[in-house]
Parts: sequence; structure tokens; C-alpha cells
Amino acid sequence: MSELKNLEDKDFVPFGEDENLSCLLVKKGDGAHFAAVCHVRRDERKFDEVKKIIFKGEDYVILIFCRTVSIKSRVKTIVNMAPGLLDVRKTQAANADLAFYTVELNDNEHTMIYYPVVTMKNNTLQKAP
Amino acid sequence: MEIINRRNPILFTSFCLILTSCANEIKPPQKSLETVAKDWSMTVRASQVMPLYPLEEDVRPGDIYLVDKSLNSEVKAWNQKGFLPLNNRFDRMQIPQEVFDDFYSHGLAKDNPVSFSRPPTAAFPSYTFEVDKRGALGLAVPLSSVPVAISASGAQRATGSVVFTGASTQGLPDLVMQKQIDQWQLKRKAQLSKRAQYVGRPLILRLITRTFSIQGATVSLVFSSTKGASLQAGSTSAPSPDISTGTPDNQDNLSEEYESLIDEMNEKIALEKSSEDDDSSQEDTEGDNGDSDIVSLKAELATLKRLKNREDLKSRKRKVDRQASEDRFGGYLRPGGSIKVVGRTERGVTMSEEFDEPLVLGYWATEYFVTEQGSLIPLGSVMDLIDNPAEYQRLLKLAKEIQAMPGEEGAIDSGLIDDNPFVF
Repeated sequence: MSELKNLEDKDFVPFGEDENLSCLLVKKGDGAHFAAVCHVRRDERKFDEVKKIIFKGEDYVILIFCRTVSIKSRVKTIVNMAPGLLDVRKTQAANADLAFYTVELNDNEHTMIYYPVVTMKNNTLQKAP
Repeated sequence: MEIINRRNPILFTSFCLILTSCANEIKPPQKSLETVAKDWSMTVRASQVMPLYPLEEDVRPGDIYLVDKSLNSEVKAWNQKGFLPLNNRFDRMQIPQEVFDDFYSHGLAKDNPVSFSRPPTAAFPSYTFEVDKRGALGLAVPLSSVPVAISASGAQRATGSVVFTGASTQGLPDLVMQKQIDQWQLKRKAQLSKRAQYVGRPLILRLITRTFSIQGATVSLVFSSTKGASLQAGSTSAPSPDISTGTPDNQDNLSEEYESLIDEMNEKIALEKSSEDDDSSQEDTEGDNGDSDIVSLKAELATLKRLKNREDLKSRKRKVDRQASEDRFGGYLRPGGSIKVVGRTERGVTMSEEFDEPLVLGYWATEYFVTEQGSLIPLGSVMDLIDNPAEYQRLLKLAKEIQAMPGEEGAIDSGLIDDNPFVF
């Protein structure tokens, strides 16, 4: 079942989470946003920044809670990805050393959130080997 | 009053003090009551339990309350009163007994193991309190024995300690309660959704996960009095035949004060008279002034005597009421339970109070945020939220900020298989 179907009877649907970010498909509205914030905060992880992806004419958004400003600046989004291209894009993203998460939205089209995996070395961010 | 004021300022001050003390007995000061209630609640809270005020029998694990006030209002009420009013009970989750039995099934005790019908025991530290306002003595302590003892003693000031007896606890761990409320929420989703939409602001659901009950309490009171007042509160055996004999209380002290003032006035009149007799042969012209002094002194004396008689009548009425109470209950008073005097001294009393049924004096609870779709988001324990409302408020503010953010649109996929959007 697609995440959007799940959203029919929920305020938000988490679809990706790692140490640097949390991705949630969230309904528009006060309560849903608060619920999403509470969900992210539940295990007391620290998120300094939030990136919001909007979709014209839709009553949902994607919220990406990022650990740092640096992570937020690296996060990118590709929308309207055809179902037939999903696996291709995933392979391409993996080959480019990207961390990525996908979510199925309207008309079986997918959205991908991705960012380059980085590690700390000598107190500077480095692309992962 | 004017006569007394003109003639003797000290007498007037004493007179005012007597009247003020009488007036204070009529109406309990609200602030004093609230302070005692708050002290009581904060003591229970210090035992890591959320206080329930007043004590109540009908609160159980699985009770669900909807809090449609903002958390700020809750925190304000908490800070002012020391407890959270449990007003809007929405539902009671019927937790099957098997759930409790399963939870208790691995108990250590072989004899009389804990079960749903034999909840685990608990113990609380003793609670001490001090009250010193007339008319408000102990009335806010939610135990009948305290106001009964204080009312009977007529004391002005008291120090007390309460030891809870027969304390027990009934509840289930968070994981089990979470399963229960998940099932309950599926059935009540539509109603929750409707309620959340109606309230129009974050609606909080409070689930009682554990209750703490007591079967009774032992209350020890020590009365303070400036003139050695002692107590006559109830009786362990047959009531004494003449309760008024050797029953010093504040009314007796008041009577003594009147007597003292009357004696003083009589002495003044006698002095005035003797000096008038001495001077009458020498200066006839001052005779009128001397007569008027005596007349005004006599008027003051008459006023004092009238007041004394009134106070004496009040005192006698109180003693008759007290005697009637003792005759009726024989030392045992039953306002919803029973109170028994188990010991008394010159200046204090120890009373044992037993309730007909265990009463809940505190609870643990988990709070949930109710979304407009009727789903529940766990917020944590009520104690955490009350102790750290700033965190909750920060989340609310953050949610509003995120909602107000403009947002951005993602890059549209080209749709071409040969394109690689990840090559920078």
C-alpha cells in the first residue's frame, strides 16, 4: 500500500529515517504538524532544521527534519518519478554514494529524497568512500 | 465604643482584638485553605505521585480524561493549587482481569501473592502540616479527623502529622497500557476526531496507568495556645459526665480576658470614687468632672459585662453541641468512615481514621495528543509534561512555524532512463 493511502486515516507517515534526518509525509493542518513534530521528538533525537517540500494542489507536504544546517543544505528532492524508473534511479543513487528514501504519491509516481553520505574526518565533512 | 476609646486606648485595643478574633471564626480564610490543600498535594507529589484532591474511590487504571484546556492553563492550575483537577472523564477502558493476572503471575510472594483483588502494598512518608488561621484550621486536609479534632478543641493553632495506613497500588506497565489504549482508540476514533475538531486546539488525553490508594490514616495533632489550652475531642470510653469541667479552650481564655478587663475597670472606678471622696470636701467645683468620669467608666464596665455574657453563652452552646456529639457517637464519628481517638495528651490528640473503602490519593498517567483524525500521539508522563512544559510549548511553536514556512518544490524527474540526475 502506498504511503499516500496510509495517510488517509493518519496525520503523517514516516518513510525514511537515519541518524541525519527523518522524512515524513504529513497532512496539512495544525494537528498533523504537531503530531509529526512529537513523533520526531519521541526518542529525543536532535533536529535543528526542517525542510518542507510542497506539492501544488495537494493537501499534504513532505517534512524533512535534518540534524544540522549542513545536512539540510545537502538534501535534494526529485519528484514525479515514474514507477518504471524507480529501480533505475535507486541504482544510480546508490552508485553515487547517496543515502535516499522514496515515497509513492499520486498516480503511482514516486518522490525521492537523497543526500550525499558524509563522514567526519579531522573535524571536516568528507564524502564517504 | 466611643466612650471606651476616649477614656482608655489600651482598653479599646484589647476590646478590638477580642471582637476581631470573634469575627475571624465566622469565615475561613480562602488563602489559608488553599495553602493547606497545596501543601498536602505537594507532599503527595514529593512521593513521585500525582495528587488527587480530594481523595476519591472511583478512579482506576484505564480511566481516560480529555483535557481541553491548554497546557499553559494546566501548568497554571498546577502551580496555584498543587494538583490537576480531573474533570472531564471521557471513558473508562475496561481492562480484563486476565491482563492484571498475567502481569502479576510471576510474583515472588508464595503466600497471598499479589493479584487483581489483592493489589501490591505501598508505603508513603508521613505528612506534616501547620495551620494557624482561625476557622480554617485543617479544613483543607482531606481527612475528616483533622477538622473534627480541631473543631472540638477550639484551638487557634495546630501542628499535625499524617501517616497513611493500608496503602496499596494498582496499575499496569506502559507497554501493556499502550496495547490497551491502541485497541480502545480504534473503537473511539470517530468520537475523538469529532472532539479534537470541536476544541480547535491541541487536545490532550490523559490515561491513568496506576493509582495509589489508602485505607485510612493516623492523624496526630498538637495544639498551640498562648494560655495552655488543651483538647477534648471525642472519647475512647464513656463520655465524661460533665464535659465543661476542666475543659480549657479558647473560649475559656476569652472569658479570662474579659474577667481581667472587668477587674481592671472595677479598680479604676474604686480609685476614682476614693479620690472623689477625698477631694469633695476641698473643691466642690470639680465634683461634676469626677461624676462624669465614674459614669463613663461604669458604662464601659456594663458594655464589657454584656460582651462577656454573650461569649459565655456561645461557649456554653459549643460545649452542649460537643457533648451531644459525644453522646451520639460515643467517641466514634462516622463521616463516611470511622474516626477513633487512640491517644490524647494535655495538648494533643492522635486519631485513627478508617475509610469504608480504599480511597485513591494519587495516580500516574500518560498523556497523548489527540489529532484531528482521532489518532493518539504519546507525549510522555503527566509529571514530565507538568515539570517541563517548556518542551511541549517549544514543540507547539515549532509546529506552527513549520506550517507557516513557504516550502519548496522538488526537481521534476526528466523521465528519461539514460539521464542520471545524481551526477553533479
